[in-house]
Amino acid sequence: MGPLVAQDIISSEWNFVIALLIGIGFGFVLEQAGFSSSKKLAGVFYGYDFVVLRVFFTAAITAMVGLIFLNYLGLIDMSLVYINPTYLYSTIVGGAIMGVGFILGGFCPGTGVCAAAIGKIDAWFFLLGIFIGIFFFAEAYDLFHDLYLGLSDPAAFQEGTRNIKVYDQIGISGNLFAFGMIIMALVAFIVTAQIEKKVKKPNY
Amino acid sequence: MKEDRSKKYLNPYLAGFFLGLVLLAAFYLTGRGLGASGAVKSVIVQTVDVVAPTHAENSSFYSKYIGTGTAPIKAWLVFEILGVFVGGALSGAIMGRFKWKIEHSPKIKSKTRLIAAVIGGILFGLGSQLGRGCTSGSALSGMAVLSLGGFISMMCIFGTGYMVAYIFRKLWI
Amino acid sequence: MNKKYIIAASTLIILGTIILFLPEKDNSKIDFTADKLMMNLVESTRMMDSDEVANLIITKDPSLQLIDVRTSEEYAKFHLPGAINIPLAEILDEQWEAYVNQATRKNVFYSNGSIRADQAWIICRRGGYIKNYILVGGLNNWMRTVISPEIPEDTDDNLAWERYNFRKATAQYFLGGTSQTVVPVRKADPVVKRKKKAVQGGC
Repeated sequence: MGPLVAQDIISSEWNFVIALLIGIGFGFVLEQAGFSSSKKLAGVFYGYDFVVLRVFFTAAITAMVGLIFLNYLGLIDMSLVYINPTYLYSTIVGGAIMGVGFILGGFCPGTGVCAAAIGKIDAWFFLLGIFIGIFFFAEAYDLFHDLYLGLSDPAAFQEGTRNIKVYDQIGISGNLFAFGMIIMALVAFIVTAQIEKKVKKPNY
Repeated sequence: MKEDRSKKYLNPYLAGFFLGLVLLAAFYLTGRGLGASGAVKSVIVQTVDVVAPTHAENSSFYSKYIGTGTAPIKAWLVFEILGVFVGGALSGAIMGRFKWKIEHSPKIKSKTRLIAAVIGGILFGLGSQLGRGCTSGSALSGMAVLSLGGFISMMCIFGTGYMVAYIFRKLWI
Repeated sequence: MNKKYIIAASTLIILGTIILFLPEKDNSKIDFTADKLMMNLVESTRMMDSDEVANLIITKDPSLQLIDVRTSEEYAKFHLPGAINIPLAEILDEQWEAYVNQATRKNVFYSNGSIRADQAWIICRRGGYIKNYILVGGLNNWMRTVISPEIPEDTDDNLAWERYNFRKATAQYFLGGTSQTVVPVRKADPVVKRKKKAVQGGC
């Protein structure tokens, strides 16, 4: 039963080999999808290319459906799977900053590495920026301390491990939420395909 | 002909499906999703620890990560990102897309593009720390396990992106 | 091309509909990791001492379920009143699952000492079963304390004497004229199997 490494079913020496292999898969698919081009990535914000939305949602839904079925078949212990904690204000501010960074930089960190691998010089500069940004955060950590640790988050968020599931917050069952997400993604795919047809594509 | 092939990308839905499988494999094997910004953080922490150990000890940020035993997980991301680089290069080589170039809108100069890229990178670096992960680590992996943080991350990144897209339109269209 | 998309979308919708009707499962084995098991092992709440058990038997507490984990020969020779016999080797047998994997009663495992009871407890714990306890010191200790309690020294405090009097009273209850071995084997009532997490959602 998975996750294998977390339960020492695969010894931890193999962990880094797995990391490398998963990374190669990740990078290969990103590049194949065209995520190594910042103009293709930025298209999602201007309506001329929704490849980001398509890949992103299809990937999230594939993994989500896969996890649900693995869990149902008793092949994975979801209590050992990492659920990223919710620090409300920190995530909102961080997400907003990343949004601006996305428009300016044209990449996100994963795609940036991918683009750098095929010789995009702007991607190398973007990666340099990431180093500076994280270094700045580290040095100015005390400035962000309260926000980062969510000290002013609503009380409900401050309890326990903060591994909050989105469906618990809304108050519906996980499976109903998953179904809703599938439908929403399909609708989004259809709508964006219509928009894409109408918007003039810049040459890239 | 070669030029044609380099423009040919995988069907996005199929690519998404494969990416989802990679993500699923990551969850099944290691119990955590994908990530990217964490690797950079790990490199920075290690570097600072080597270059200026006393500074690292005194800092409330670095001291959280040095000598705490959380290092292996972070190192995992470094290997994963190395893999992303290799995977990207491999795919680029197969498709004949490897080329040194600066990609930008014809309306701006290369220099403008590079400056924007650095600033964008800085913002992404900063934001990914507050958001506890970037698009892949927080938004994508978070959404796959239906965590609230993942959805907030995703909505904030793309929401803000759309809000400011008009201001920076010259960079792209 | 269009046909392919329709097939893909339909597959996804079908999968989604199946998901709607899937029960939510929790595969986590409570003590799968060594440190968690360790934490539970050192916890003293998994133990029940003989006085406590004796008291439950006398008051005919319906939540008590004594489980003799010794062999059936040993059980036939002597067992505590009301105990059922699940030999350690059979504890994971399907026929006993309803007894060990439940949440309404307190199962108290006992053997001659406490080794077999302890083993039974760990096995059950790994299975994620709750509400299982161990009789401290097993039957040996039971005899020493409940059936023929030691007379305290004159110098001992009141507490020791109170305990002695209590034990003497319980001993009378258990010995009360008839011999132990004729205690009829109680036919165990059917036990409601512990429900896994309730099924949520679905339209």
